Parts: sequence; structure tokens; C-alpha cells
Amino acid sequence: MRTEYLIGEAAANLRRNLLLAIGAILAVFISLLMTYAAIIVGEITRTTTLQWQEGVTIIGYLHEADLADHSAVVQEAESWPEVESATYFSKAQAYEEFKELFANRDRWIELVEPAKIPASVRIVLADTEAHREVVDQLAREPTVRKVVSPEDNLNDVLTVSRFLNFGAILLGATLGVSALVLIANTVRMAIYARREEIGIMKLVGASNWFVRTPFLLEGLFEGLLGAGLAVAVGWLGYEWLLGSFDIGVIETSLPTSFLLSRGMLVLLFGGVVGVLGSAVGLRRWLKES
Amino acid sequence: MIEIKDATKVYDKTTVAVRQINLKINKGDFVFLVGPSGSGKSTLIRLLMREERPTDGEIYVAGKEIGSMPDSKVPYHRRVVGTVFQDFKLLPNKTVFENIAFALEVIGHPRHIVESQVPKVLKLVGLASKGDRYPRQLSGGEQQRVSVARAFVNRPLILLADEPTGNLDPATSVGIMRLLDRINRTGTTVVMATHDHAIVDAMRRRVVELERGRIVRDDNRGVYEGLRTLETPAVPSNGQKDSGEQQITQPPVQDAGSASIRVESDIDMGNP
Repeated sequence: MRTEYLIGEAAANLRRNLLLAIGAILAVFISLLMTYAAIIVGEITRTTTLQWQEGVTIIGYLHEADLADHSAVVQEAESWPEVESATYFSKAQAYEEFKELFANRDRWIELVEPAKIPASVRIVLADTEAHREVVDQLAREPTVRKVVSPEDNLNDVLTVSRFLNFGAILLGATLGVSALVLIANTVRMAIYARREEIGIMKLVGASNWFVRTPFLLEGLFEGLLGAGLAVAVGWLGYEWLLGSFDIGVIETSLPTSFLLSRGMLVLLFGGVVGVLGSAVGLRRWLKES
Repeated sequence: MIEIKDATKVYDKTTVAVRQINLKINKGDFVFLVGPSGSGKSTLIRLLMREERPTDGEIYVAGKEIGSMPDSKVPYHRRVVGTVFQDFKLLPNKTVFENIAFALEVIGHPRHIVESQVPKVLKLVGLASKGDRYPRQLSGGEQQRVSVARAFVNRPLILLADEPTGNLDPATSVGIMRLLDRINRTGTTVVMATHDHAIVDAMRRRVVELERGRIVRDDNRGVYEGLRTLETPAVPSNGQKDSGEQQITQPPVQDAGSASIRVESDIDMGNP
């Protein structure tokens, strides 16, 4: 009966102050959506980077030459101590890869002649620190036309994405504080609306926790609802983006367990913000016995 | 049941509401607190319910010192003390039954207790048939009966009443007094602050008179207007002139006035 009563009171508080409650819920929602999105984008960047780093780090495109010259370069590269492996990637293989990458863009595949795609040597580094030296050394080889190192581009991408993530989290934190303040305010309003009742509760000896709990529940509910919405919208948004943009080379799919565990974390955070907010709102009013 | 030792309450560091009160009230006593406005009656009631902490001194209620009691313990103190006020303090959006039930529910009594106790107490206050009415549908006297019922429903040891008849006409007031008397006869200690001469004179119960925050009279079967003007001066005879300004001019310890000494001797006489 007590539980029933406490939850009923919390629900009544929410109904009475619906507009303010919606404001608080939306603030939590937006704040945590930013956070959740930042977490997802961060994870995509991280896994993508890992894939690149584990795979080919340096590609040397080769001039037209006979196979002997080509394999000489590969063997030369293989002999360098910083290099773990150097693999020859023939024109035919390159064309296959191209077809795979752009499988859904038939016109591109039609336009490209297999002979125009250069053969290459693909190097995996033993020592990633030596990246720059290997790139320079490879570029000095006469058969090598052009050296491409995905890491250069990746570093740029990483910098930008880190910057964006930082911005998103900063914005999320600011909004989180405003959500907390809004929840504190709704609770304060709810207390004000019920001050008579609270006065009588204290008069007849209701324990402080009994008086406080409905308000804490109200805040908890607002926090959880906002967080739940954020996780739902974040997750659906991610699935939608995944479906609409097939960004071939970048691995964008994250395991469900990751989305779920981070979603739980966001929910937890929403609950904490809600309870904290209502505790702030309660502080002034219920400090005195 | 209640023992107040040298209690002083100062508001805002300058206004002395009660000063060095010594008072002992036994279980089952019925005590009127009388005196002009501002004499400290209400402050004394507020101290007893721990709505206020004393600035100095000790207050024992049912064996516990409530002045220094932490806030978290106050709810438990309130459960042994019922309170009735001049303005009833009923919740307008709850029925009579719900108003009384509320007092039990919020201290965690299960539904079957609520459902058995509320009708009993409604019968006691003579409102058995009006449980489903709202406060606005009742007369002032009936509303005060509801408020008394709410204060009494969890059988407190002490009932504190601050001008409970202040808003009622004389005939209705008599009804409320009969009710408080009946409650007192169940063994509940009643402390009532009042201005109502007729009631105090008719009841002939113990009367404690306050003036400027001090006890100036404590008669065992007293009337509203005491004979103190003939017996002892209202001002304590310790040589310190009470200017009437409510200011602390002396440290309280030396100021143990004659009033408090009389109070204690009266109690001894009254309780053989």
C-alpha cells in the first residue's frame, strides 16, 4: 500500500505539472541523445581506425612494368626491417577489389577498364613508428609511381572526429546541467503545489523519506523517460543511417551488445540526473523538520 | 510526561518569546496556557511539538529531550503528540474520512488499521455519518472535530491545542471542550493555549498563565483571571527590572525567577 501510494503521488505530481515535466524530459532527452550519438560515432571511428591499422598501412602504386620488376620491388620492401610483410597486388586482383567495393554501382564498374587500374605493393608495418621512413623509402623506388598511406587521411579523420566528439559531449554536459536544473524546478513547483499537504504530513509525523520519496520518484521518472527516448532515437537513427548510406570501405556496423550496454549506461545516467535534480529541488524545502 | 527546564526561545537574536520557563506536566493532566497575545503561549506549543528548537534549556516529552533531538527523529516525536489548531488545517480536496485516514497512512499504517480506526474516531467526535463530506460542507465546529479526530486517531500520549476554539462561537466551543475533556479522560495529556475566559472558568482545570514569556501563575484548579495581582507581582522579584522590551539583558542562568519556583511547588501539591 505504501509503494502504491508513493508511486501514485509521484504520478499525480507529474500530471499536475505536465508542461514543466515535459520540458524537463526533453532537456534530458536532448542532452543524452547528444551523448549517446557521440558514443556511437566515437566507437565507429575507433573500430574503423583499428581495421585500417591492422590491415594495409602503406600502398605503393606501381608503374607499368613487367612482373620481374614488380616482384623486385616487393622483395626489396620485404627485406626492410620495419616491414612485416609486403604483398604484390596485381591488376586483376585490384580490379576484383574495385568491383567488390562498388558492387552496387554498376555504372562505375562499367566505366573502369581493368587495365587502367594499377598493380601495387601493399605493406604491413612491423613497427608503426617507422611509418614515415618506409613511405619515403618506398617513394624512392623507381618502379613505384605513387605512395598512398591511409594513415595520413585517417589521422585527419580522427582529429576531426575527436573534435566533434568533444563538442558533442560538451554540449551534452551543458544540456545535462540544464536538465538537472529543470528537474529541480519541476520538483520545487510540485512541492509548492502541495505545501499544505506536506505541512500536515509533517505535523502528524510522516518520516522525511516518506515525504521525499514521491518527489524523488518524479525526478527519477523524468530522467529515465528522457534517457529512454534518447537511447531509442539514437539507436533507431543509427540503424537508419546504416541502412541509407552504404559507406563501402568503412565498417559501420556495431555489435548490438555495444549499443545495448552503452544504452543502459545512458539510462543509468538519466536516472541519476533525475534523482539528483529532485534532490536539489527538495533540499531547501524539506531540510527543516 | 512533559518537563520543561529553563527553556528560552529567542527569535532573530532579539525577540524573546519565552524565557526560562520551568514547567512540569504529568500524564493525564489537562492544562490551559493563558495570557495575552505575545505572552509566549503559541511558542510554548511550538516548542513542545518541536516546530521550534529552544534557544536554551531542555524540554522532555515522554522521556526524550526534544530540544536537541536530530531532525530525523522529529517525525517519531510527532507521532506521540497530536496537534489541533485554530484554523483546522484540513485538506480541502479530501473527504473527512480521507483527512483522518491520511494521518495514519503517512506514518505507514496498513489499510485494515485505517479502516477500523477512522470510523471509531469519527464516532468519538460525533461525525460518524459525515465521513464522506468535504471540509467545505461542514460547519466550523464540525471541521474542528475532524481536526481533533485526526490528531487523536493514532492515540497520541499528548494532545496540543493552540486556540482550538478561536474561530468558533461559544456554543460550538463548548462542544469542542467536551470532546477534549473526553479525550483527556482516556488518559491523554492535554495542553491547550487559549484566550477564552468562559471556557477556562467553566472547566476549572490547571491554569498556567504566561506574561512576556514567563510563567506568572500556575493554579491547580484555576480560572482565567488569577488573583496574582494581589499575591505576587507579574515581574519576577529578583531585582532585575523587566522593562517590557523583549530583549536579553542578562545571561539566563542568574535569572531563575520566582515564577518557576512557584510552578514546581504547585505541581507537587497537585500530585500527591
